[in-house]
Amino acid sequence: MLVNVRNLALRGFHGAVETLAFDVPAGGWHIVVAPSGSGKSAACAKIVGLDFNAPLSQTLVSGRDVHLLSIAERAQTMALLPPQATWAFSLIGDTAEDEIDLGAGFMGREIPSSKKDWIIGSLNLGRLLDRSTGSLSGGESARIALATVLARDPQVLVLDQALDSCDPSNRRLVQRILAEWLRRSGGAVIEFATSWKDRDLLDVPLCLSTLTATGWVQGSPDKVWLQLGSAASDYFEGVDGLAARAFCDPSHAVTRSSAIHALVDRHAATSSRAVDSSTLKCSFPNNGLDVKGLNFSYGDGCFHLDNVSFIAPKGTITALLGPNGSGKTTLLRCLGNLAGPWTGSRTWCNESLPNDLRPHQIASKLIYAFQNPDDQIYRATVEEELLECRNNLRGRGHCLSKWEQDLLSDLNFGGTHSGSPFSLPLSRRRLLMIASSLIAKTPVVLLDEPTAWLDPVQKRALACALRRFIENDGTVLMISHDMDFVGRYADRFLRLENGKIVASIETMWASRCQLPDTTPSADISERAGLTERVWKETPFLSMLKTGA
Amino acid sequence: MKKQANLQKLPPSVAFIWTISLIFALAAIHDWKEGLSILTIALLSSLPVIQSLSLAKSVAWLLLPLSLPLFFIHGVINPSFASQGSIFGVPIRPVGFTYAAIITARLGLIATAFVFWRYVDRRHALVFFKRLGIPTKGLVLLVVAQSSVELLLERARAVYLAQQARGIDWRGGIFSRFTALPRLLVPVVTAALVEGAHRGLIMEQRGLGSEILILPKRWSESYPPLALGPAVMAAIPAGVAWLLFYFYVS
Repeated sequence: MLVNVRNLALRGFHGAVETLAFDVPAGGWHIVVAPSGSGKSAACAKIVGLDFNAPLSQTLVSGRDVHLLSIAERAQTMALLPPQATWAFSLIGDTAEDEIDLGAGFMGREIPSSKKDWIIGSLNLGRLLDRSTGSLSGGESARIALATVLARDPQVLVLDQALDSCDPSNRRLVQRILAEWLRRSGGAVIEFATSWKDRDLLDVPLCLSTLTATGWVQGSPDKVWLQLGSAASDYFEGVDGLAARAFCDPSHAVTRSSAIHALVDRHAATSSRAVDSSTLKCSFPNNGLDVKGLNFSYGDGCFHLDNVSFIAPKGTITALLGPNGSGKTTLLRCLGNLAGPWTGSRTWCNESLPNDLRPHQIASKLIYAFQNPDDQIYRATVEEELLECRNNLRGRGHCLSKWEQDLLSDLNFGGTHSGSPFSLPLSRRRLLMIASSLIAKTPVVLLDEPTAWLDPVQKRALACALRRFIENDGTVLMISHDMDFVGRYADRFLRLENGKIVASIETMWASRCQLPDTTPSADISERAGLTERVWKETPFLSMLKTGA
Repeated sequence: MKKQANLQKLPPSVAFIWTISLIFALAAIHDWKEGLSILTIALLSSLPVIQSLSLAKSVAWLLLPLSLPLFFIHGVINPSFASQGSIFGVPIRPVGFTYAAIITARLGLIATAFVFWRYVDRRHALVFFKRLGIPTKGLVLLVVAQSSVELLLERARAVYLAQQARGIDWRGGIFSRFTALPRLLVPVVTAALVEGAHRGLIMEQRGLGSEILILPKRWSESYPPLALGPAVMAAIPAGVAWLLFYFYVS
């Protein structure tokens, strides 16, 4: 075994688990699946030897304890990719290429040109090399951060939810490159995640450690699947989870690889054919948020939104899909008047919302929950933070209605919360900001990747809250790379590429059918059936592919 | 934007001469007249090099929150300076004001030296310091200190937008701006601390502190040569300070 991890502590359902242990062979990939708030980031720091307050925790790489290595030796042995990729940048370089070169430079060597070419080519970074690291989107930053790590060529790579901000195609690309790196270098990957999503594409020895209500389950994915039983769907979510289920269920006729590839082919929406936005029709009864001919360009002219027109119908969830760097966040910022000036028009239920309104005036109609919750949180207690948007926009003294209280309960913010919001884990802080935006009761809520870093239980809770919000005349426009989530709960899908809307699809079945279950032990067959409906009965992804 | 891009190419050696010159001038200040004169000369001599008032503006923004409390504390509150009259019962201490002015001038010179490095490409600065033989740890700290100012400003801009998206009016009256200030400061400071802790760990994990650092070759290849004109302008504050010091002593 290349890596031996001993006495790793994580918080479980019944208190702390102090003695988690696993081994990873050379060329192997070990995934630790645990819910949000279980201490995954702290565990990563312990594994790479950066937490000196954990004397019991031990990581052996080729028989050597990483805690006893010098800084240089440790850096050559272990590499850590944090959840926020920008933290991995050195602040010394300026461009993405500088960061890649410095990845090896800190090790006291230059990166061989053949290796650099392989990293840049395989991760598709060619057009990003001259870009400033501050101007990259989340998925682009994640790929550059990975490139800096590959340039170092460590023995062990530790991923701390590092792929959450990648779009589905880039996530698969990164996994393929890592699998190739494992085969080339004979290293090992230890990944911490909230679900086992998409991971069965890899042709490398896979092992899984999963925290369940009764303790840890470890082993190969098939073995873990069988041990998890009805709780499996909490960890094997999404399209590839369905493939894993198909593989593990002996009564199912399809083989693992064919099931995966068939589903992934449907999953990939690769059309680049732009459609005439003005001809897009909407069958919902009223118009809701109607955007026409939105044009915007950054000062340097390197990116622009081009004649973007769409409708987000009232009382629906509209998902804004598209690859990293396609302009999704920029579009939401324009709608919130946080970027500009832009040209075009924007109406809400036929009421014009002029482009020159100040952002706080627009916020009373369209409130925007940023992707990074730390940009918005500032109150001393969770309770004050929950009411912040509401108090800003509607004044103080308004009591919460029944559905608003239920919405907070959905997100586990019911009752009194006197603790500091800064003490919450990242996923809870995200939900806190989303809850604060939803109960402000503005007509439209703009959400930027609301499911990033959430575990499956939290995603279901979020779906419940969004459903409750739109049933009370709210409208949601959300950016997402989580095809499973939007496939289940969104009513309408827009695909943005290079600043243009290239497809617009609506579906009537998904969010109308039922509220999702919120208990982790809910009947799997019901949800599995629901998932199958997404991929078998709903042709929206294939429609996206053809740009229909 | 174009002018800013050109300014980024100032040779680090000019900034270094500038810093040494201002440190020399700092030591020569004895009274407030000298201090303010040298500060003014320093800012004026930067104009041909920077080709805009941006340096003076940045220095003013840095000095304002530092110097106003100084004048209040030493000119009004500090009892070790004698009071020579009062306005509406508030004591006025002229010696305290003079003292505050001297400190302000010194802070101004330090701020000018610091801000000048913003006009140097930090990659070239790194090459320059490495050529001077500064150890890796110090080298990285110097350059990170420079870039973290930009990072903080970037973060402040993001928070500024994020709070507007939640319904905060920043362009209202002075009162609304003042009451909205914690909404900007708390997230910026908190995020800076949290991010600093994370970045520190990651930097150590990347090998910072191992005393080996190989910089990309293209940084050295694009290193700008010493520009004689700006170097002479950078030395002016030191020359003036030396003359003032000479006449003061004689």
